[in-house]
Amino acid sequence: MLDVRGLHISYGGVRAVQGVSLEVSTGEIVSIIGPNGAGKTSILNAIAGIRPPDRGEILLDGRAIGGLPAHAVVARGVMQVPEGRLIFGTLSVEENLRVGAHQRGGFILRSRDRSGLRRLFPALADKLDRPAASLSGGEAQMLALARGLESEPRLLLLDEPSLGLSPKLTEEVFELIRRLRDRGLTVLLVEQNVRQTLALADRGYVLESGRITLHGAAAELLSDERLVSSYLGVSVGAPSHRVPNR
Amino acid sequence: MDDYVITVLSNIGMISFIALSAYLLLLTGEISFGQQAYFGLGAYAAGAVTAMLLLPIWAGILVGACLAGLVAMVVGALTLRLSGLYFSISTLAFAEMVRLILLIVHVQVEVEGEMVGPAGAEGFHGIRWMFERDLSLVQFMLLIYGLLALVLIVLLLMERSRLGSVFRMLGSDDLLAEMQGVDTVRYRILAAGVAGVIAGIGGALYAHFTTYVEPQFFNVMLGVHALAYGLIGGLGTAFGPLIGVAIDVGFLEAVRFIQGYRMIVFGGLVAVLLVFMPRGLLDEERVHWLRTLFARRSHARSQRR
Repeated sequence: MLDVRGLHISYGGVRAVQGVSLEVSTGEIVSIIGPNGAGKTSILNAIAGIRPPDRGEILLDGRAIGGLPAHAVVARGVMQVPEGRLIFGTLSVEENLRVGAHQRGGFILRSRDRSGLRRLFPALADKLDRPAASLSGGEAQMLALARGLESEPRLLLLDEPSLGLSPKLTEEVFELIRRLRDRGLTVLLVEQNVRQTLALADRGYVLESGRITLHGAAAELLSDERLVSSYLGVSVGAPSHRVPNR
Repeated sequence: MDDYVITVLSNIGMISFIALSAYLLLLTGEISFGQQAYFGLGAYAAGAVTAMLLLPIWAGILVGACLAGLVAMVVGALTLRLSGLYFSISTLAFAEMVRLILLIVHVQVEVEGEMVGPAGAEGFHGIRWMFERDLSLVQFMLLIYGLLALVLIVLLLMERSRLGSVFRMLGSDDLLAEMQGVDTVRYRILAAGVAGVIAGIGGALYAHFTTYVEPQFFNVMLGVHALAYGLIGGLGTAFGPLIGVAIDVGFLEAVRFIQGYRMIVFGGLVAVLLVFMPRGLLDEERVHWLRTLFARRSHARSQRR
């Protein structure tokens, strides 16, 4: 479905992404993992049309979308749920959701939407008329996800959905992503939370300093020694005897 | 009602247009110091239509509103890439440009043996449509409030619609709005145009109420006040800026003992409000609270029945 070839992105001379190629097939959860500043968000922004790449091709179903304005990319069924900047605080929860609904030509939430919302996001369903600014961090993350889904995208770009969430909420969000994939959604997921992400994803790309250093089936990556020693070892907690004494 | 009260009320009504105009742009997150330009353009254009072309006032208002809206859309398109301070300064620069051009525009025609039309710094005299038809002040006030009600209803409906959500999205986070599939360019220009039309209507009425306009009236203080009204009254609903106007023109004008100190009181009021209520008296939270309050009341009433 999505085919990225030779992507180069730089910010004022600093090269953030250097020749990244990746593929996402329909119905897959593909994750990009890597440390802070590796260029993960830059790749998502390039795909979503927020920032055109310096070089490289971005193909959606074989047609180039690189360089299109963001709203045109959204119209082709690609929805990004960005990191940090999540919701429109001055709008009510329902208005935030309607924003998503508008993308597929509606404005009012259909009863199907409401029942889906109640099932997937029970915490939000009771707060539809509240200003979105009054939501907690976890609820805001849920709202951003729900709004992204409301547009019925074909490809969902998720940027650090676990950011700022408790482990329990993170698990809920990941479980939700899994259920959505089972219903046919394709997901490109960017995360720092390596172990949980690889447990969820079908395939993974490891990004370091703007280059892909490893890729493969998520299960393989999880058991890959290079990844474990260089990156996972630090991130998910190595065996206790390897932790230096303080 | 004596003429003084009617004049104050009419002023509140006319200034409300420019307040609503600035409010609409505040919703989209743009601080314009230049809405007085569209108020002025509306005033001059409408005056020209009725006093020079001798057409009826509705034609004047229509032409004034359309001209202001069109110019506003052009300026909106030119300033599209600017945000924050840069946008504000460019709107101010444009408004000053309009004012300075009006200072040198000298186009007069002879109407019944008299020269009528914009005469540079001396202003545009003889916009006497209202007096020629023996309209009373009260009748004209009703015209003002009729049109104001119309604009207000349109704005309130808009706020409940998708368009209103989109405008608030632009103000909340325009990049995120773009990510949601909103063509932000189109909606920014649309907002600028609608705001221009609203200011233009106000200007058209103003020209006919005072019978003469001069460029000096459309200076930056008018634009600053227009902005302040929304910020005082609140950005949660279109009633907010009207409350702001009522407080300034109504209350401060009426309370004679602070005459001369009015600007000091006004400035202090704005400063205090911005510190404690950055989105004004009727911000989104309070509007929500009022709505649930009303909903509960009417719900309780229908239960009792």
